[in-house]
Amino acid sequence: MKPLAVYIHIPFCEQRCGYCDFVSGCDLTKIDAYLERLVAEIKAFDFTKYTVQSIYLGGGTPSLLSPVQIKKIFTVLPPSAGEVTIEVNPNSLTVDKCVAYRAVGINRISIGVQSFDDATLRDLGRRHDVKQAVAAIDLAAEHFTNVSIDLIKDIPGHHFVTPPATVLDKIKHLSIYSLTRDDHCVLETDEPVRLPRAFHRYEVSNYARQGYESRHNLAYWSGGEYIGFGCAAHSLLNGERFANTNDLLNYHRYTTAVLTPAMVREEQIMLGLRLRTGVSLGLLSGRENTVKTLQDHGLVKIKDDHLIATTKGLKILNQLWLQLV
Amino acid sequence: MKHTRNFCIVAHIDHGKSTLADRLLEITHTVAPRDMSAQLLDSMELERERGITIKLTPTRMHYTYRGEEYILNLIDTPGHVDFTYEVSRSLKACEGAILIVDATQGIEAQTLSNAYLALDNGLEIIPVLNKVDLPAANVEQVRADIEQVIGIPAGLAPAISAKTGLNVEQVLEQVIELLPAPVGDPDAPLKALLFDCYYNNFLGAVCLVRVFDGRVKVGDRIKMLATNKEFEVTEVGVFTPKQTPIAELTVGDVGYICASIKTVNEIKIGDTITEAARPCVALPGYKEVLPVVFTGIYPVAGDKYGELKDALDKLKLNDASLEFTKETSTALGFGFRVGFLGLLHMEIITERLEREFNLDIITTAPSVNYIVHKTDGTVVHVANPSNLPKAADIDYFEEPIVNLQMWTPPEYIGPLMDLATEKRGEFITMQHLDDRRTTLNFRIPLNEIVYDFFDRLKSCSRGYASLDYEPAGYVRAKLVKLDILLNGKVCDALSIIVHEDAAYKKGKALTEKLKEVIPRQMFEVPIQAAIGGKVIARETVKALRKDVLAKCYGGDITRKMKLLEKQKEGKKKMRMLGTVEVPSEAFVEILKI
Repeated sequence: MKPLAVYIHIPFCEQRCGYCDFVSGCDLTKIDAYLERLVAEIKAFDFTKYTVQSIYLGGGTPSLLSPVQIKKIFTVLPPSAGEVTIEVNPNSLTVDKCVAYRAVGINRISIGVQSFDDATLRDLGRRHDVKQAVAAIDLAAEHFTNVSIDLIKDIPGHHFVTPPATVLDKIKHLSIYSLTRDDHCVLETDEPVRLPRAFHRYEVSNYARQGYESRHNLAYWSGGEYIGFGCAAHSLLNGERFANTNDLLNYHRYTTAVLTPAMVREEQIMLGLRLRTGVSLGLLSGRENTVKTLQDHGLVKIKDDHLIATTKGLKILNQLWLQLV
Repeated sequence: MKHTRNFCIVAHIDHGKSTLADRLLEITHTVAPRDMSAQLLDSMELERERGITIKLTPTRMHYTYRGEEYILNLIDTPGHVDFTYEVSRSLKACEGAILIVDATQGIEAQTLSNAYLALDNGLEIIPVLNKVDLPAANVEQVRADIEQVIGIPAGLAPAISAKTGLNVEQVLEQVIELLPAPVGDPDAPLKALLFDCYYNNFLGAVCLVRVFDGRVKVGDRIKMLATNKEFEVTEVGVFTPKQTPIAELTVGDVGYICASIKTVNEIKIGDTITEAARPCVALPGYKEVLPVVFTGIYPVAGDKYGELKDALDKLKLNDASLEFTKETSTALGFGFRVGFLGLLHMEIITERLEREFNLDIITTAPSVNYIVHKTDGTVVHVANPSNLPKAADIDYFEEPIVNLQMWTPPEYIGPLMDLATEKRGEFITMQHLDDRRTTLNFRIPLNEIVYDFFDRLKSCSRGYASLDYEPAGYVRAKLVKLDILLNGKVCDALSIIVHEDAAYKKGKALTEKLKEVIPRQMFEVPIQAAIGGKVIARETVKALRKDVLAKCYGGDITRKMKLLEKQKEGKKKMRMLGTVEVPSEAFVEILKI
């Protein structure tokens, strides 16, 4: 039995946010038709060879779904041995939903807080304010031990506001993303993030208390197999990357890449550089001189036969990758 | 033989040589209208794109005049000053030349130098006034100019429009009436001038020849007088303008000979081809052309050295003026020091290397040939700054200078004077030819005109001025070697030799330009300009602050890898100089300073 991570895409939002590049639409009347297609797709997948180690409901805004709709999805999913996450918006989380989530086995809540500054939230076009976000965190923490929040930094004209200690006390995990533009150009600013020592940076954009690293995301980052259901969802099975098209009700699967050993190596180096566990030196044989130069410049360090990017190195991972492959 | 005419067309650049050639091909039905395309003889992709002629192209045409059929061999020639040697080669194969003068522009520098070149070679000249269909044409004035400035009668010169075809027939009539037929003895031993050559993968070297005596056909054993090699002829033919085999070439013919010649060093342009059994006396041949500008050419990828050498060998075959020797740079590895006749020539060769041979190359800053007198009394010639003796061992430098002649309408005299003075030119004379035309004569270091002089001249005269120059020996000069240091290490490929007074300015300009073109790297890169050990300018390329994509979910991995692959492709165009990545364009950019 191979471990498998399951991703389910819920491409519906009350409104589109300018910074988000995930596939989603706002015609909520199509939710039921979409769920029908989704459920059929999940049913058709043969889970027998796999142990589902994590399930992740992402979007979009999965918290727009009613308890009944949520249940519909989970009745066709095999039970998960581990982490089951749902992404929620601060303004659509309710007590009823928390209860319903627990009932289907959801054990981790990821809240799209984005910022602890009202002006920033307004400029981002979010429908909630800081007060609502704090309330949602409080509510989630009452029902779940494992609460994560998403934040955005490096927004032109705004400063990153560190979450207040009262909030940090209630959460186990933070994802802090640098704002990217449509053309994937990286903005030059790089605001420093200062969090209590209890949160360790286990991936370039992710911080967690010990033992609360996202198992689902780690599956992506360590080359594990994953299946994505729903429109625009991506998968990696048997060395093949494939994805569903963006067509909401008539999506179909297409192959994005068949991985060759060379590609696997390049991916592993890219992903490993992002992780605190680093890249196995075995992947870097023949690159010893480069490794040495990078070490001399304080961009990487070597620990337990792994090359690990330092804080300085994490800022220019693309360059490190270019040097190392 | 008395029905054969061999002629070429000479003119200043852009006066309409190739267009007239097109019309002649049409009128003589040499090319069917459906195969006709503008500037047909400029077959090289680069020639068509730039609208210039680089290589001479011979073509045989048939024309019936007063009931008799004539064979007209036309050689189209380039007009740019860098390619004068190509012109002089075609002149040797002809009895006459058509001298085109643009009736809207009048006589330009190259009109004069090409006309003199033709006269020196004993050619009959037919002046032709072109572009008379344009409103700005001043036919009578230009006629008078030709008589006064060049000193040949122009009263009968046809006034034509090569573009519309107006009066072009008159040109053909004059070619037949005024140019002498070739003379020679068909029964004497073969005596043919090898005036050009190109490489064909199937036939080997295709030798372009003009037969002066005797005849040649397939199966003959021929001998090259200069290289003393013998070959058996496998094909002879003419250009129509396609390569067309015929039975025999005889006295007066312009055509080609193939003889399974596989390697370059078996051939020397300008050589005399004769019969192996019955050799003739050699023709005078050409004056060797000496390259004046030198540059290092290196493959971007070190393992392409062999391919680069091959490509240069093949180009050398039909470009006798190209010279190259092996060179090693600590920064760039193995490459060649290549000599050119001018900057355009250099541009053309580098572009041909990239296009026709698909090579990525790096070109270092052009240099001229300096004479260095060492303190121990010995003298060395240096065309590569990194070969300079140590500063302490140098007594003094001598640099090549040229006599520069600029032709311009009087309103641009001021800016051109400034330009020449800025470039260390020494004013000699100024001559007013008429109210539209002035010549300025300067003695100027060659080194100052090989970079951007031609472009600057054009831009400060709205394109009206033209130039010509000829070597005028060497003079003593205060020169220094300017080194560029990247990350504290001298990068030999970026070193240049400059005049002492210009060193600071140049050093500053170079470091500033390099700062622009070198992308941010993982660490800070200091760029310094230094003379000897003394740093005279410094810039810094700051370290990259951020280059990372934040998110990396399932779908992002493929996307991110694609993005990284793209960055990787970009990196391939970079050259590691020590620990610093420098894009190959950097070398081109700094040439422009």
